[in-house]
Amino acid sequence: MSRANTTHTEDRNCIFKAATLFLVLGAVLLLWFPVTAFAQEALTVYVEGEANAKNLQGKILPLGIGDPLKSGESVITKTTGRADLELPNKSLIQVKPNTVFTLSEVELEGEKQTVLATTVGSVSYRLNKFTGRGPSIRTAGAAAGVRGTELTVYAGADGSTLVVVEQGVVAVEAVGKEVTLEKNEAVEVKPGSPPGEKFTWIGKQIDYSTWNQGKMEEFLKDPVAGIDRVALQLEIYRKGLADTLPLLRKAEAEVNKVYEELKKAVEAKDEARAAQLRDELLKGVGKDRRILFLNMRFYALSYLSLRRYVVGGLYLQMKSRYITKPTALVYQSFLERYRDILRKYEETIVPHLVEADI
Amino acid sequence: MKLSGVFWKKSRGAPCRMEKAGLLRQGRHSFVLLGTALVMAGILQAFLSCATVPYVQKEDKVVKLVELINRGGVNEVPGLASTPFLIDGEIVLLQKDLSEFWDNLHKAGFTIRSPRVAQNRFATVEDAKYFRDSMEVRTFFKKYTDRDTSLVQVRSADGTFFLLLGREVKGYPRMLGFGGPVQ
Repeated sequence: MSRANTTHTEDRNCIFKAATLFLVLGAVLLLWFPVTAFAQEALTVYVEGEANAKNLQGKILPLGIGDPLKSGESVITKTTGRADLELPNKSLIQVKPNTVFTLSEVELEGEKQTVLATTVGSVSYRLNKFTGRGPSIRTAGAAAGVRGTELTVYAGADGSTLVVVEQGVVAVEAVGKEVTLEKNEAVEVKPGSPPGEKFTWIGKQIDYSTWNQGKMEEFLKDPVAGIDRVALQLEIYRKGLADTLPLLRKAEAEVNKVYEELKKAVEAKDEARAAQLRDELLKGVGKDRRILFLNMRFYALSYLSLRRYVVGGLYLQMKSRYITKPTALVYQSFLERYRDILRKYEETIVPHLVEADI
Repeated sequence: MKLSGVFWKKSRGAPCRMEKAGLLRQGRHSFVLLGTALVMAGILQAFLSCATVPYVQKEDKVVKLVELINRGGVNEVPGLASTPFLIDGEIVLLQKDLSEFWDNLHKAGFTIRSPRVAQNRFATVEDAKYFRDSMEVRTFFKKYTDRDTSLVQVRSADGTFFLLLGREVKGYPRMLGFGGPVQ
């Protein structure tokens, strides 16, 4: 073989290897594509006072009119802040003062579902009809399925939830139990507990500060019972994560197996087999892995939000009130539970978080 | 044409020496100007570098801040303690939570008696351990502290406190974190 021929063959091999790598990388990228490219977005249509957005890189930046809010991002309003967001179907979300609101996504039965979560504070929704699955409206302790509805969600500093329906029908679910609310009906849900009795609410909107103050007073009467209730809710997220992880590991192993087979098929120029394997990565094992990954992140981030905004908030309340009497039994008992939550969090949740989440 | 010829001759003859002298003068002038410019640039550079020199906390300002905490006046100084803020191992992102914390401390009768600055140095990520040795606190240090942030250890009759402090806000060091008391 001449030197020119050898070089030509080497070049072809090189190009072939590069093409193989490109195709395989392409397949891997395609695995992620549906998660990012079609992610739900909301548009900021009104801002009043101080409102910030925590972006996907974990940076906190002032929120302005026209700014998009991507899946995985949060709005954090200050005492005078308020922000109105609009979904692609013109549904309106009003984030009120002292609120943490997060837009995210999960996949249920192969279908993507938008999650609108209020960790603390209050958010009003005027939702139009959605094509496909409607959004899930969540707080730390409850989830509501809605479609063409007007409602307000209040998330208390103690992890409690209050859902008030102004128009339409809302199904509020917590700990596997469901309560259906109609116009002018409301229900309260304590963290880690099923929804309480629904009650009629007609008239003026509930003042969040007054309601939240009542929740805090209730918590301070028995802080140990209060943090135990939140721990129950945290345990639901921890269990959700623990149940998802083995399935995710299995799906990852299957994806890696198909990926190796794809590499071989491309190297062997078996286009038919390669196409079949690419399809498998997109629609079969790849999709399973993607769904499980999204759900794993959902549990980890839900735990983080509840731990930070509710457990952290309760710790600040207790520390600041008991700083001059640190040996008080009630404070020591609270701290014992608080440290236990932190220990579990560090052991089971933190390994699944990244710095941008913080 | 003739006149201009004379003029031309003059300008090409005698003025030539004058030109040389002028050029020398001009050269000296340019040299002085260049030197002045260099000195000015040096001064400017010194000023600019001053602006980027890490900010060192002044102990009297720390004591003034402690007095403000003791008076319950933290919330009265806008921007003195704003979110994100670190309290022990908790990253506070809601301003309301932070304001309530300072209010509650005052209502509880909290004071830092006989404060003494025991340590005052630039903060590093390793200092996270004085608040809580966790991924969250280390991330807080990475994200929200810079070369102007100091870790100040205050010893007092009420225990030891750790303060994360930045540049001044209305005469007080801006607070980024508060940890303690550690007995």
